[in-house]
Amino acid sequence: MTTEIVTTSLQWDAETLLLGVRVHARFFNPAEVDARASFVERYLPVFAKACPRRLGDEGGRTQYTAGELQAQPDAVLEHGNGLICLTHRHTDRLMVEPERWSGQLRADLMLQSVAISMAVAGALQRPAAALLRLGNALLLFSPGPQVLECLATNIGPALRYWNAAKVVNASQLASFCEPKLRALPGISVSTPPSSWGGVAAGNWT
Amino acid sequence: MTTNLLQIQIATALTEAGVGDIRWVLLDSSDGAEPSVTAPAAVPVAVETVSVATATAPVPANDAAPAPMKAVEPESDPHADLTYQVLRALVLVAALTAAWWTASSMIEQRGVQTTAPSTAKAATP
Repeated sequence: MTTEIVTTSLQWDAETLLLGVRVHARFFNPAEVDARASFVERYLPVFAKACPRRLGDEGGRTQYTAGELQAQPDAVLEHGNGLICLTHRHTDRLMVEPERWSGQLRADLMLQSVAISMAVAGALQRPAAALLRLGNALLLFSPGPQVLECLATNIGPALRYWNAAKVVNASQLASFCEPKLRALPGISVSTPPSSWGGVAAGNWT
Repeated sequence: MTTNLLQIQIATALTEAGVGDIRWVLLDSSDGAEPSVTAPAAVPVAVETVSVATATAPVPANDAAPAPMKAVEPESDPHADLTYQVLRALVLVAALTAAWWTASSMIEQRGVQTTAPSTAKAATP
């Protein structure tokens, strides 16, 4: 007997490269998506069939600590062989224009999402993906080796920089690492959105 | 010397079935020893790996060294604070003295200037 594993790739509308992080974006109509019933349908509108299971209770947020890195993700969901770390509070009112989204995306928010997923992955010892839910877009961050290396090796310096007692949080680590990443040669280039897939205003999911 | 390395796996791809394209980094975990997570070979789904630190690499130990910071701070703080306060007071006194001297000398100068024309005017018929 064989088990069929469905590995259907997800439909993203656009992608770009920002500070060494490949960003996939899915745009949607917030009026339509926000009215959906389940959490996954509302906050992860990229999934067609899958239904990741949320860890913890709906309202509470759990703190995750990996070494000296601490984070409190808005939501952690179990998805197949790994986890999804979703940041959505305080960002689900931020809107981006599909034509200019890569320029409007805040690098600190992006790095903070990656740092949060690092803390969760380290604490739970499972692979974790970093996602950010904006008002009208869902973003998946795929950090490159330089970004992961920068974040991982700067936890100690960030701890000392922020004069933190024992742990540094994801926001502090992100803001500490952003200028360092920008200073790295060849990493600050941001490619224009190449694959828009015919996305136009009003033609969202 | 023992180093406790914490394995971190970041998924860079997402499908309907789960996460994929795992990249991993190792963090130095100083909080507690977790020997079960120190072996990078135990990564079950590693497709693309990024080695940031190895068990012998000194980089994480240097970077994440909270102990020296804690040891240094209590020793140096009282003396540094005292010296800083004394220097601050000296600078303040010097600045006030200089300001007072400058002001008094200017007042004296102005007094000479204002009296000179009036006396000159009084002298003329």
